[in-house]
Amino acid sequence: MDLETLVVPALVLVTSGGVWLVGTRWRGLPRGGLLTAAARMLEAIGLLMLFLALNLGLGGLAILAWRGLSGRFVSLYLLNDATLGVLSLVQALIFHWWWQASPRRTE
Amino acid sequence: MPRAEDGRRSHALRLLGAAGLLLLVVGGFTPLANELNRWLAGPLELRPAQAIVVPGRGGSDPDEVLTNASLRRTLRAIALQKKGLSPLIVFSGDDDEIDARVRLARGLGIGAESLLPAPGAHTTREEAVLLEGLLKPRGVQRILLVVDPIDMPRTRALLERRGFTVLGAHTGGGEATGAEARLHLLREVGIELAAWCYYRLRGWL
Repeated sequence: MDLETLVVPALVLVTSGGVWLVGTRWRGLPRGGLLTAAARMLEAIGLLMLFLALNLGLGGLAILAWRGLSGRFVSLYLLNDATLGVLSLVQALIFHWWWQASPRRTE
Repeated sequence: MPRAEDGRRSHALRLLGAAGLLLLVVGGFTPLANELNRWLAGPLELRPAQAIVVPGRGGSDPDEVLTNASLRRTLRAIALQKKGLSPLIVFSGDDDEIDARVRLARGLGIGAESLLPAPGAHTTREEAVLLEGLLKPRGVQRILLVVDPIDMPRTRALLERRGFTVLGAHTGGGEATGAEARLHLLREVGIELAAWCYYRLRGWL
């Protein structure tokens, strides 16, 4: 791996360390809470992957059905769009917070 | 029970999230994408053939200039023709893409008699069918296939099933550098893998 590749992760590590210091020393945030936050983050990413798979699967089926029913060509590459990933993330975050706020959700 | 059920769901989601994060890290910060790209490309087989076949890739932009990938394929084919590896270049793809490719080839000194446009196909499978109908009557059997490395296995398999002897002449000798480029390449590999699975399910491969 070349050094240039390490610039971005190094930057993220430095700012994360800085926020850790600010959070624990000046804001009084509990250190143990970081693990819970990391677990929540993994849940959100898991939901992102589910929503992305759902959107891609449904989109693919819809395009194939349209081709079959109409006889007209629509490219599956329509789904190769980064905005679908961003919108799936929005869906995942909204659902995650909704789930968190639900009285049934406990840990 | 709802609590235990929620706990299991949370656990499954965390595992899925960890897998996603791992994929991001491995895809962006290791040579995985480049290795997959190289593996999919197979060997370069730059030997004389009866035709250089250049399937469509992304068409042309609204200003009638070829997209990056289509331009790379076109330039590769022109260079191979000028090296004397084949007398004929076959361009497929959509109408605008083929027009732009022909204009570019003519502008770079390729004679009209050396260019064969093959319009009318929307998918790789349709291109293979079209090429069979167009080239077999001309006695073309051995072709140099110019596609991106990731497209090589599926396109090659389709053309070989149609009876062609395919020599690989993929584009893209370089590597994706930087995390973003590697992740983009990994996404392209994923799309091609999905297309391969779909073609297998349909019995086309």
